[in-house]
Amino acid sequence: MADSTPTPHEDLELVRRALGRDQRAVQAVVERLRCVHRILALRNLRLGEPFGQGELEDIAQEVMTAVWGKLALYEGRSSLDGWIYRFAQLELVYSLRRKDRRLERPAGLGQGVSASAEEPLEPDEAETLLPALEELDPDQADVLRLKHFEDLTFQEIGGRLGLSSNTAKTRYYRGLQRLRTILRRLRPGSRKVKP
Amino acid sequence: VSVPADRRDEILQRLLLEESSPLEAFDRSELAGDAAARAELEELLESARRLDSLGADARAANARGPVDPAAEERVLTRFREHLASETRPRRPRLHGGRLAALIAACLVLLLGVRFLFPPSAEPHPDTPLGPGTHLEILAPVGDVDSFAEITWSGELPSRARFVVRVYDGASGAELAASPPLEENRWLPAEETWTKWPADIRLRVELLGEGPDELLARSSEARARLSP
Repeated sequence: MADSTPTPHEDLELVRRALGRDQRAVQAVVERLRCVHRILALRNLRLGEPFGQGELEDIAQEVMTAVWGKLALYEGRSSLDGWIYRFAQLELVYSLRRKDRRLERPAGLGQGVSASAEEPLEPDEAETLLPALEELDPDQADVLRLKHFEDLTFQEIGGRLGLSSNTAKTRYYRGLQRLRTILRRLRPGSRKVKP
Repeated sequence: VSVPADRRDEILQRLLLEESSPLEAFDRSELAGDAAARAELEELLESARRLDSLGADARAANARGPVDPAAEERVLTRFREHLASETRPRRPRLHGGRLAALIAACLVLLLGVRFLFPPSAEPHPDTPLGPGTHLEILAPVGDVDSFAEITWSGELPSRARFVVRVYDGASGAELAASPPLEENRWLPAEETWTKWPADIRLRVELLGEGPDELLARSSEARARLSP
């Protein structure tokens, strides 16, 4: 991580100041929300652009408003960008499902991944994994996110969460076991679509 | 030979987290020949691979420049306007006598409620809230070699979290606060604590579920880096 990248701890301080209506902090948090449109646009591209520009901007507004309304829940366990990423991806997943229902198509659009996409993911990867992560015990989900989304070592995860690295490893293992069970349930054929 | 469940989990965890080739190591382990355990390990590895792929995607999205700079700017401007309209003071709808009457009615109601339901004594934040929640900084205290590890006493009630606050020993300005913690230990990053002055004060707080819900607070401890 570059030195200029704020730590989650600094992010938490920033969020607290913004919630206290410190105008500089408010503007700084708004600036951090710049990534919302970027995340949505990139994912939309990879999904074969199911959303037009206007729709995507509307979804971005919904995500930013939702993030702002829930800032008090940010606990500084992961980076603010990572926390925002979860909102953005999940909102896109739910918007896709709403659109699927409107168009009476099965969930999981994006069978045609854009030719310009780099290292395309399987179309339904985020659609499956992110809601599955939300089903985990929050303590286990935190460790999985820090490991895979922020690329931290178990020692760093332990330091971040106030745990020993062995406890972090055990939580990771149990979380991955639980995720495996959830993913089995979500496999095509046994998948439930919920809003 | 059947391996007890605890031991089986222990082996799978070690293979998953500490081996560079987990499946090859599996075939040399006590579990070799257990097809169900091998299938489980394969699924765990696959789940980890999928998370890695999504994580890399998330980092790329954050690190990458704007996909459409004009659209990004438009979205941000629209959101700033939305925020401004929410915080703009609204024109009062009540005037003069009606407003005064409403305030008087509220005061009477408030006094009535306080008369009927007198407030119970609120716990002073510095007072421990009963057995198991006595908070006290254990280290660093006094002259120390580093601030790398902060520990304290006190049990964590369910759904509560600890937060450590660090202040400048001289000015009292807050220097840092830990993220919410579940264990009685915080290891601030080295690049963080080495920036603190040599003389600091610390306290630990017990926070409830709600934002800023303070349940208890330790007294301040003082620590100085030995020259």
